[in-house]
Amino acid sequence: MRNSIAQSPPNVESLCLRTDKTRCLMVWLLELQKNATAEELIRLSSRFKTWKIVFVHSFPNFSPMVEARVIFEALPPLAMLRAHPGLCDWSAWLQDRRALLMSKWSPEKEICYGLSFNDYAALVPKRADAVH
Amino acid sequence: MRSIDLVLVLDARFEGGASTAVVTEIAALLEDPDLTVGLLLIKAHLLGLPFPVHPQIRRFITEGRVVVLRPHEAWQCRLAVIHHPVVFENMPRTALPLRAEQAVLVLHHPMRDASGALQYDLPVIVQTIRASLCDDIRIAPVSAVVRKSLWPEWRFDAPVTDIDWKNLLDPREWPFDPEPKGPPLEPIIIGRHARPDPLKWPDTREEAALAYLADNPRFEVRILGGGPFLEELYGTPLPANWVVTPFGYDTVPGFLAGLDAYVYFHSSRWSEAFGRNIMEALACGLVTVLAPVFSREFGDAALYCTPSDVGPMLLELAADPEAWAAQRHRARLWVERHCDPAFARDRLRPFGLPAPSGSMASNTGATGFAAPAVQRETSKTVLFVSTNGIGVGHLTQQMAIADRLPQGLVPAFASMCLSLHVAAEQGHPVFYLPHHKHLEAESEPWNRVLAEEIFDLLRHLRPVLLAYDGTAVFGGVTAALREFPDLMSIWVRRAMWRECHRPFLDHESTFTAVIEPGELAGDLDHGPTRARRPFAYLVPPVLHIDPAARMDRAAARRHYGLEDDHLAIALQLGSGANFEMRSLRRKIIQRLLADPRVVILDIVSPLAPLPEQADTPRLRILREFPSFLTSRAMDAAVSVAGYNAFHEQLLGGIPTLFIPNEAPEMDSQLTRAQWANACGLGLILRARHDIGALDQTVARLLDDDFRAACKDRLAGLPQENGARDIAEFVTDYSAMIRTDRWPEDIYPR
Repeated sequence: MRNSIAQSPPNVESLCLRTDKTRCLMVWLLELQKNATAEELIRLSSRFKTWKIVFVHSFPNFSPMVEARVIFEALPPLAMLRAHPGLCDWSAWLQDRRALLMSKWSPEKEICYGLSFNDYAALVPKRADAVH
Repeated sequence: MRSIDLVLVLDARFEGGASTAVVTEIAALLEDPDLTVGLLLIKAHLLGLPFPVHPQIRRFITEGRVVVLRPHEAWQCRLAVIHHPVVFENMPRTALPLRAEQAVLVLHHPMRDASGALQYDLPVIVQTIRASLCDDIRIAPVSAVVRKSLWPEWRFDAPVTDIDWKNLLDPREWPFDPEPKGPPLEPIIIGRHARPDPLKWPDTREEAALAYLADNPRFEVRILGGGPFLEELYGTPLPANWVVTPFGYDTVPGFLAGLDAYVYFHSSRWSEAFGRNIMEALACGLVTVLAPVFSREFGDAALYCTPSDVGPMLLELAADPEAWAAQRHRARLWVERHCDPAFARDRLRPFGLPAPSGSMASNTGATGFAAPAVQRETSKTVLFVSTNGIGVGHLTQQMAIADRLPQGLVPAFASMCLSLHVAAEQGHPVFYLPHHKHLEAESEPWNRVLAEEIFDLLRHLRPVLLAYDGTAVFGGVTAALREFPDLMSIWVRRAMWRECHRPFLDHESTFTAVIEPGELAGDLDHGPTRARRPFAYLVPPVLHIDPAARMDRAAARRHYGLEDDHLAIALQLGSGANFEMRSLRRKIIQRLLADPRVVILDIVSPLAPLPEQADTPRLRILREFPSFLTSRAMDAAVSVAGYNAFHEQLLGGIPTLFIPNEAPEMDSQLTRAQWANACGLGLILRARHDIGALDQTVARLLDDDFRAACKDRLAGLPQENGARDIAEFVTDYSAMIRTDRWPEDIYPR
């Protein structure tokens, strides 16, 4: 286990889920409007047939991703983070979450629709806002 | 730092006499409006099994009459009364939320047993208390027996109180007839009660036969607290005049009221600290015969002899009505003089309690604890982690618990459920943990990642308890929990496992406690968990919504736009992700619609794709969660027999045709459906086996007389909801300070 915030796992290779040489494309869909995505996903999937595509979204409802039968990771919607500002230091958790996702998939390329991770992270409530 | 007058420090999970005495003590203390009382709950090492808090202590908490001090809070008190040395046998695993000006360590058990073996290391315990709670400690034995056990090694760095901290008992709660008609008629009914334990019995059958007048026609012997151990101890058959019944605390007063006399002898290896059972017998005015070792404690309230003299002594006394009556009054008088609950307050006076009005707690606003008892400005998180590959059942079960947590405990959900939004929509924070099947990943590297994901949640959220729900316990879960060995963790593990699930039993020890939600069909469950039931906390069936809290029938039918003459049938066939139902669904719909009264409400799983809308208004396709809320609208249902659906249909009083999902990785829905069918509580249709019976089974469901009879039977099912019990368990365990871990196990080098 890692022992400091935003530190990549000690043995990154041991945390990578990919066991073949397929290249990975990570598609960030943070805070994207749901209606705009489904068609986009299918179009992307068909263009990158030789790639493993991992979508990282923040939709509250996963149905569009499930129905499209794609691989996805989910980050909490900003609305949820704002509703629970005191649950933890969201910025710190997100930095660790991103580091782990990177280790987990080791993407060769990243494409961003909607907010970038950094823009998304910049909008999370700060610890000082916390109730507890 | 908040202040409070008095804090009882105890492992409140004990079932026995010590807890009962504490209940009496608390009740008496709470009669003083000037006294504020708190509880510091300790999880001591003695109870390894997942016992809940004693129900009567729990009631004080639920009613908000005592405040529970929780880890990471800061309190001070004038006096801490530590019940039982075992609670400080190890160092607490975290700083206590309390500092006390003075402390009394109540010894409920002799320091050495009858053979001289040391039962606890008092000097070390005193040191631990001094280091963690209070400098000014006094030791208070509960009886002369315990006091005597402290000699000859009287070398404790703390004074011993002059008076014993006796167990208390309210005589008003125990039946006593001051003027009975006379001495007993033969056969004289003698009895004894104790929890089932061989140490509470004479060592040999010969001794027991003498003390308990085996096969003596002049006596009937009633035993409350028997069990298989008794036959193991003495061999079979037991004497013909012994009437043996299992132990039950609630049945004690009634049991004692039926006796003429009380006889108690125990093993030579046992040292009875106080003998609450004896005290209860005396309170009922029973002529009581004891081993001479008790004479120091009970004086003339009882008679003392060897086992061989019990019969002659009782017969001689019974022949003298005046002597018999006098002995009864001496017994009752002793309890009134020595055990009156008023002593609970009297013995606090040397410690300056109750405090003069305006001091300590009353100055700081700690009085007037509103129920529920956990009301804090500093909320703490309970992390619910669940599996759920194809449905939403485990997540729903966790929401049932979360909804019943007191304010101040914030539930957060980390789940593999693809319908996690149902928790988010109820305002809960949620975290998605994708299952390896949805990532096209191998299980081994995925478990390594899962461990990191849960580890991150634990270190950032710092929950006070982790509740896991699922049949499969993944390596990633256990690896993450190993990193936080002091974290309270529970595994809510349903029954009805298939054999393929058996390896997951090996992970029981990963968790602090295993809780098994009740199964109405549990008697038919012969799966792998059955043998583990004695090691789990069993609760009634868990429902997300209490049946009584549902929308009333008229409103629910308006909600669905149903007319009075409609026969509303709910169709709930699950996600279909791992069990093909499409063809059967079509046939059932066709057969149902053949009845012109029928309107089908096809409630589609949050995970299943919505079918195309039908071309008839009598088939309405809905996606609703939780659909149980409006289920009073239904006249019947066709449903899978997953845990939640099964118990909701039955406990909701809905005649149901169950179609079990028989996919091999599922729990045994078939057993549930077969049980309901056999009991006349529902119908069964196996998707592959019973297709030829479809018409007649659906016809039976549509038969008005069948449904009426079925509803009558369903109305007789018990209406408890285990979600409440689990929520209380979570609340209490998350407040406990752990002293149950041995230093050699938890200070890694």
